[in-house]
Amino acid sequence: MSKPQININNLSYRYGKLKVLEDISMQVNAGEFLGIVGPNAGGKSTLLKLILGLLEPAKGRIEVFDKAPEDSRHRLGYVPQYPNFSRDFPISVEQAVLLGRLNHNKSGWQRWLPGRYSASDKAIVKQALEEVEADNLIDRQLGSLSGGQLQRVLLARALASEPEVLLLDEPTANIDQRLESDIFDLLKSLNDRMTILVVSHDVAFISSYVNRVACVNQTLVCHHTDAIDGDVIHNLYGEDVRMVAHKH
Amino acid sequence: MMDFIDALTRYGFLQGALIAGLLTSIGCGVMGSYVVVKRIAFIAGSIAHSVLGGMGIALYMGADPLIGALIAAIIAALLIGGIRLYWKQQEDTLIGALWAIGMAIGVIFIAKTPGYQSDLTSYLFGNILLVPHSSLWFMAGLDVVLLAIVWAYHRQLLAVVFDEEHARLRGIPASFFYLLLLVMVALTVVLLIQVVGLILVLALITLPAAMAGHYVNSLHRMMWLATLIGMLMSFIGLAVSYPTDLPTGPVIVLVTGLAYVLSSLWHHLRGGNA
Repeated sequence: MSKPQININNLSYRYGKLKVLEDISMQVNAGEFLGIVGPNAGGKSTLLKLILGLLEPAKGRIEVFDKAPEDSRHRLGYVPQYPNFSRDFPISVEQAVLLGRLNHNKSGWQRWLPGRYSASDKAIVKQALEEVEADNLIDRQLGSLSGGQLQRVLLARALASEPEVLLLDEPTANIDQRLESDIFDLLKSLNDRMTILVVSHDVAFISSYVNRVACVNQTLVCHHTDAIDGDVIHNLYGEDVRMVAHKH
Repeated sequence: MMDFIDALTRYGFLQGALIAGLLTSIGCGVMGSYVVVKRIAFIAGSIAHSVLGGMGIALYMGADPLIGALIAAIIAALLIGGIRLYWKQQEDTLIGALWAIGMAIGVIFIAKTPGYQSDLTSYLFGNILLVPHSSLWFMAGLDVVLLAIVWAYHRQLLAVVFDEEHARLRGIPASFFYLLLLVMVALTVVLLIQVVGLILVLALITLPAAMAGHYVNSLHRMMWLATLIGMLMSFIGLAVSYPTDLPTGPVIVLVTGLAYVLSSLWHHLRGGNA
């Protein structure tokens, strides 16, 4: 059995005095397609940011590829729930996805070098856009894209950095429900060559794609897909599952 | 207009003023584009005003006020960058405080400086007609430094102004490049002080770039167009102020402001967001 790619031990995180995550331990192995589910504000996004090293744990340890998250994050790809940029930023799809190529395979002092994108960077960007079926958007302005198109472009930006683990935060929250299964079909095919962690509030939908579900509501219960029953959902949400389904 | 062109060929002070206007347009066009897309105009304003503190202290000590401005601008940029990186909750209050405290220090030191104090208004509002030749070389030098950094690190700077979190995840020293960006904005402020003074600086940093943003769709085209717009506005401002005998810096600012309003209306009528 090979070592886990992500190893989390007794992790706690607080936002000020508010406990967000409490004593979480879990491992993610190579090739997994892990769904992270739970109620809103249950700490799912926070868990992803801790794995990426964007937040510091209050207690406990996270190791990604046997190192601190900051030292391994170039091997991870991340698709945030909300874009961190303003939609009217003057940038083309190609330029935005090329930023995923920055510092590829560079570490230490090499990150300080000036430089330009190579022909192979551009080829990889084109390939990433083809893979998410957005290659026809390459010359478009980022601000002119629909929610679904933008989501694909952000996924292409993550793929352009050739990640070994892909983390996605609610990848279908801002798009048409009709396109939801398109995105997940795509993730399923990407899963052949990379580990995938996807945060979602929709337990029922993702359970047909993922091979394991981690349920996060401040604490964590890990389960395989076949173990999701009324009791688990009741423990997680503290209320009847139908009511949860009605909320969305 | 022909009178102005004629005067331009004859008078050295007009030529110096035009060269100063053109040189500052380069710094404004390039750095203004970053300021506009990153939405840090308030930060640029705070750096510009707090610079008076450095100029006052330099004057009191009998040093060149421009050197004082340079040092104060860099200190202000690093302070503001530090506030943003480590003390984010209070960001707007602290930046506003720095704005006023810098000016207060400047006014006190200038008041305590013995001798005739005509210089205060020229620091506040600039005097493009009195820019000495040595300052033109200083401005050209600052432009070269700014352009060299942007040329070498345009990818990293774009990554940081576009999406700081993603830049950090790609292993870019994001805090360093953010601070570098603010220091470069500070250099631009110093570049502009002699032309329009520290109160009017903000207009010339943001307006040409914001206007360029109406017509182009990439950051580097925005820089080119903003530079050209800035140059045109300096020329028109100078040409208007010469026969009318109005103060040049404020006229350049007004011409730029008017052009911005017209451009926004035109852009809005064509269906864009103003």
